[in-house]
Amino acid sequence: MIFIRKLWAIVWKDLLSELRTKEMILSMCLFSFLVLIIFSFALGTEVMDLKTIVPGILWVVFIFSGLMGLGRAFGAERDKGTLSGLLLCPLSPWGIYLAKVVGTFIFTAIMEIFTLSIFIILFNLNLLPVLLPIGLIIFLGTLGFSAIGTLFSAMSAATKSRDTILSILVFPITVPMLIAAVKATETILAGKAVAEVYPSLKILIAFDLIYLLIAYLTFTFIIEE
Amino acid sequence: MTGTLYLFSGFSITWIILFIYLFSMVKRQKSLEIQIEKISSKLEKVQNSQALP
Amino acid sequence: MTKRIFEIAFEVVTFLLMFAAIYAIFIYAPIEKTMGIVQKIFYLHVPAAFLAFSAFFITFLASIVYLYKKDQKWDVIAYCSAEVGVLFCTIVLITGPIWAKPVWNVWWTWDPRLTTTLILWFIYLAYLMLRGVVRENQRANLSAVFGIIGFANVPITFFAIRLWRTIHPVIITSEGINISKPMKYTLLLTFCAFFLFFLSLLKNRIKLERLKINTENVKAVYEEIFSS
Repeated sequence: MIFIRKLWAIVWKDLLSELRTKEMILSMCLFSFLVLIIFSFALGTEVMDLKTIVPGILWVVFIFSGLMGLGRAFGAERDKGTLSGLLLCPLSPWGIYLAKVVGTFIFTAIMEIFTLSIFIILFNLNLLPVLLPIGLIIFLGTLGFSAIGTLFSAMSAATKSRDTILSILVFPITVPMLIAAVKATETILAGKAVAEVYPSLKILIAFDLIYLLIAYLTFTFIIEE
Repeated sequence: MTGTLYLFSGFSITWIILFIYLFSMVKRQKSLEIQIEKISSKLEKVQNSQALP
Repeated sequence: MTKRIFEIAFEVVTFLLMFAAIYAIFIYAPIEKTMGIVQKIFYLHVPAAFLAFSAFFITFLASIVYLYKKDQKWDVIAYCSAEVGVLFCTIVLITGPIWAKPVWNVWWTWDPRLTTTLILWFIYLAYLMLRGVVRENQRANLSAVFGIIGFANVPITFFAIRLWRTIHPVIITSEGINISKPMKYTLLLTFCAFFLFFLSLLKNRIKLERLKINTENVKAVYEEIFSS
């Protein structure tokens, strides 16, 4: 219980500092909006089968915009020189990592909700009847993305060329998550039975658990100097 | 006949890649040797100048 | 002294085996009936793929041992193995399409094995890049963690791609090569030759890396003494 309260303190600190400037969340949302517009232009108005390409576009936008927020998780701490202060918190490195995962997750989720609403308008989709399964898929996908993203954010904070190396690290590792999430979203949008999504969901859950476990075992090594 | 061409290009590209890698290793070793040489010649100089007075 | 003789013998054996392998591939092994002469790329492609995976596996193990023991030796092994692995993986990714084009009439297909290899290649290139840009005092730790993450990604990528592939038309069902006995022996011989070649490459790369580290240490000490 105390662990959760401590964890929440760090999350709340990040949320507050973001609320003061709103710099990151605004740029993430604007960026995703722009990418969606670009996609609409690039695909033209007469797309044959919208339902087959929609999941792909959605997840590409999520990952590209999510990547903008990732670098901030540890990059900002290091820029302001507050990282050593954060590490002095009476919380294990794993706790600090988890707090950052929760923070990244919240920011990414806000961006995703925004993107999804724009998406529904632009591509004229009716998501209401399938909101629950889609929400579950997005939840699992975003959790995995935040888990590895936060880990790599801490890694790239220790490098010279932060953003470039972050995307090079994140993209190949997210491939299984992306495939499973797109496949699951596609199945749901095609109106198939929820049972058909189980294989994809299994991969998403396995992805989340494996990377949270690896982070649990190795995060100490990443922040030690 | 085209099969031979593919076969030939497959093998030659493989060997070219391997030789480029070996060559890069040799080059890295050369540069290290030059560095060692520099350090040892500098050290020698220092030793000589200290031996004089 | 005996160590030196052993090393020379090792290299001579590697060299001779390599020649024997080339002889076996081009002269001893029969030409496959359905694919024709191009099937001989098989003897290059399969051992290279096996060695690339083993190299990445060595990186994975050495990374774990490094984090456990904190001995720089293991970091060097992980690094050198990753580099040699990327080399062999590049060979696999180039010979693969050259073999596929005349046989399947496509350069590339999103088969789970092919795609997993491609992703693995990207991951270990990222590993090498990470080592290049990371701060020196954290290099070994971060790359060890990434070496572990990269290999843990292999099975999950494989399963995810297998899932994804089912909605696409299947171009290849199975490779369907009837391997005759001479082919089997040739493959075995090339396997041994490539394996020894890989070992000597890795050994020399590790030696070179140690030399580099030693030189840098000497240089640092030297500069420290003479700057004051």
